Formats: sequence, C-alpha cells, structure tokens
Amino acid sequence: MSELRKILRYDFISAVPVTGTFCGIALAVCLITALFGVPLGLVSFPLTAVFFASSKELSKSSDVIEGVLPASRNSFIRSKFAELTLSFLAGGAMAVLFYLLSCLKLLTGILPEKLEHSVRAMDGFLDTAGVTMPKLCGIIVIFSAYFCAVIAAAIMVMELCRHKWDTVIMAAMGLATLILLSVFVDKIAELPIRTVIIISAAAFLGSLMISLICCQVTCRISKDLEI
Amino acid sequence: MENILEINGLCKSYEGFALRDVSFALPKGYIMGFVGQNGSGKTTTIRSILNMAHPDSGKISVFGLDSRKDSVKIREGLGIVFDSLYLADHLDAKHIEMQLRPFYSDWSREEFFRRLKAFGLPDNKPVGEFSKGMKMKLMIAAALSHNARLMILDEPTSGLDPVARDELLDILTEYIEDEERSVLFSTHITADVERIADFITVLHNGKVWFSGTKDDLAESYVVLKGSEEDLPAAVREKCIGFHGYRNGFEALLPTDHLAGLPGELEHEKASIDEILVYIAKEDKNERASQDTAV
Repeated sequence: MSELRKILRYDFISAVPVTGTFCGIALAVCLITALFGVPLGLVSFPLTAVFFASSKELSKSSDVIEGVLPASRNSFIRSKFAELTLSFLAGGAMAVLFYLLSCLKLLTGILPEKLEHSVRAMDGFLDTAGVTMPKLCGIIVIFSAYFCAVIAAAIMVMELCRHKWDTVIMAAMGLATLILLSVFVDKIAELPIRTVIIISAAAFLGSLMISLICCQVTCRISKDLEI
Repeated sequence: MENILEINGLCKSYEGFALRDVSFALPKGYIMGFVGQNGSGKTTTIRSILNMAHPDSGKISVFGLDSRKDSVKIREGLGIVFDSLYLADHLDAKHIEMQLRPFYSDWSREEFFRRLKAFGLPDNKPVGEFSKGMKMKLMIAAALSHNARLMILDEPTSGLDPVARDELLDILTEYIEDEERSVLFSTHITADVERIADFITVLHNGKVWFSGTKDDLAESYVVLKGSEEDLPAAVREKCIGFHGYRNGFEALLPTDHLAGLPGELEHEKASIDEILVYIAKEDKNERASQDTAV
C-alpha cells in the first residue's frame, strides 16, 4: 500500500465513527429521494465537505503524528490535498448525479397521487424564479470547485506560515468568498444554461489544477520546514 | 558494542536557546537515561532524532542510517512515547490498531491485542478517556507490536502515579531483555533513571555535561561537605555548585580531586538528583559572579 493510501485510510478511520454514519445516512436519503424524483442530492456537496473537515481534524491529537508514523512529509501534505479535492469535487459530482437520477423519476409513479403531484410541481418552482434545476446543478459544481480551490490555497498558505496566521487566513478567505458570491449569484441567473455548464466544467478542471499546483508548491517548500 | 543510536556534534539554535555540539551514543541492548533540567534541550534532541527538527550541523544515525535521509525507514523501527497521546483520542484501541497496521511491515495484530490485555487496557473505550498511565501503555503496546528496535520516550513518567511509573519501568526493563533493543528515556525524574538506566547522558544548557555508564557517573562525583576554612583554594576552584552557609559549605567535586583532601572534610557519593542540583547551582554562582563583575 502506498504511503498516500495508508494516510488516507488512517484519516478515513478517524472520521467514520464521528461523521461517517451521519454522512452515509444523509447520502442514502439523497439517493432514495432522487429515485422518487426529489433532487435532495443537491446538498451532497456540503455533506462531503463536512466529512473532509472532520477527517483531518480528528485524525490526530497533534502534528506530532507526522514525526512518528513511517511516512514522508510529502505524503502527509499530499493526503491533505487529495482529501480536499476528492471530497469537494466528489460532492459536486454527486450533486449532479443525484440531480440526473431525480430527473428520471424512476419511482415517482409509486408515490400517492398528492405527493406525486407535489414532486412534479417542484420542477416548475425554480423555473419561475429564473433558476432552472440544471442551472442550479451548475452553480453547485461551481461552488464546490470554488471552495476546493480556495481551501487548497488556504492550506498551502497555512502550511507555509506554520499555522501562525490560520485565523486571519480563514477570515480573509470567508470575506472574499462572501463578496465574490454576492456578485456571482446576482449574475448567474442572467446567464444562459450553456454558459453555466461551460463555467462549471471549467471551474471543476480549474480547481483540480489549482489543488495540484498548491500541493506541489507546498511539498517543495515545506520539505525544509520543521514539524 | 554496536551502537543503535549515535549523535555527533549536533548543533541546533532557536531564538534564546541552542544545542551545542551534542554527542553521545547508545549501544544495542541498553537503556539510556537522558536527563537534564526543563529547557536543557532533551526534547529538541529527540525531535532532531525523529527529523522533526532539522539540525544546523552534526550527524545523527539510527540503526546505522542517516536521520535526515532515511527518516521513514528509521521510524519503522522506532517506538515513540511522548508525554501526551498523539493518536486520535476519540477512537478505541481497535480502530487505532486498524490505523497503524498498514504503516509497519512487521506489525502483529495478535501482539497488539495480547499487550492490551496484558496491560489491562480496554479495546472498546475511546483512548482519550484513558488515564495518563494507560495512554503510555497504549503507545508502548503499539511500539511492541511492530517490533520496534529502539524505544524513545520523552518525559513518559511525569504526571504518572508511583504505581504506573513502576509498571512502566518494569515494561522497559523487560523490553530490552533480548539484548537487541534499546531505550532512550528522557526525564527529569532521576529516580527512574537510577532504577533502570545502564547509561546516562546529562544535558545542561544545550550541552552534554556527562555521557557514560551510570556507574561511571556515580563514581565520578562526590558531594563534599565541611568547613570552608578546611577547603584548599585549589580544590575550591574545582568545586561545582559551591554553596557556603553559616557553619560550612556543600559542593559537588569530581573524584579526581579527592586525593590529598584534609580529613576534616566529609564526602559521600552523589546521586543523579544531587548532580543536577549542583550543576544548576554552579550556573547560579556563575551568573552571580558575572553580575558582581559588572
């Protein structure tokens, strides 16, 4: 087993008892509701994000573990970026999958008539607000990609600053996000669906690239830093 | 004797503190007590061995491997016990075992659970709820399960009750019985070192003050007592941590200078604790004389 896989497994075991059950049940609910035509799976992005946050935070009592376990410093750093990218982008991708599944309305027919009517009425609800479901999916993918990229950059800066400015970095990141989102949400409703899809695909790939670059930079610089 | 750990000329400086030319060696099959006051540089030395701190100069070799270049390989053969638990404390021992297993090629699941049982540790309770002694035992159980050849313990007995301390010392004595494994045991509780250590390294102000066998240390210094008037000036200069009081004086003296001492002066074997105290007093005396000179 490679060092990276060992660390991912280590973190996964840490997170499962705390957030794993909750996230697992929530995703199962998303899947079941999608079968009935309810696009509840759009919330899978924050769910995987919660799992990511908990996996790293809970995996150790301190950074000392990096000096104890027989794995290189670079593997520990790569694991942080791998977990971040996997959980955020998987969350975005799952949201789309659940949405597509809900479009098929595989089990909607077995619902009682009133409930079935409500489910079908949901489709038109967002349309009237100017945000169609596909557009909402695109927005969610853009969100997850954006957070993935921003958090990757934050991890890089925090590692390189030896966690001395964590609060400041987090606050700055939060503020920038709020400003950007307030501008973005206003504009997005006006964009045609095709543009949203192109932006979301670009954001998805872009965040992958940013995460990879941040990971490489952090590995290169932090090899000389102490634990 | 084959050395399992060798440190040569280790220097490392931080703001307000520096390790200077630290050198010592730990042979295979022995326990070394690594003693010194708080802030003397014990933890920095251990962090350097683990490649958590990067030395400014000097060389550290563990199992004959370079601590910088081969740190991953070295850590596979190390058992590490810190004064606080570094594992995920919301997990139980079963999950901890699942986490650690893939990292060590020699890991034995049976050995881990056998040790847990032998140490009386539950495997279904979050390890964060363990007492300090239980946490120490858990870290030792992990070290023994991957057949660690060198156990490094940083202040493991501080904060432990006497029974837990005694148990820990017994475990360490048993650990080196096969003469293939060694223990580096940092502490400021010198009674523990007197009980189990074969070798002692005394670190003071970032420098090695003594490194050798426990017997050598015991034979190298005495506590000298008597009246100041009976103390020859030449011997007075050799005294360490000289402390004069109304009716006489007390000081640590290297045994090399015992010959020709007046019979009025008494001397007795110095304990490690006394040696540390007199070294600290010597520092105080030096500072006081510098202040006077200024």
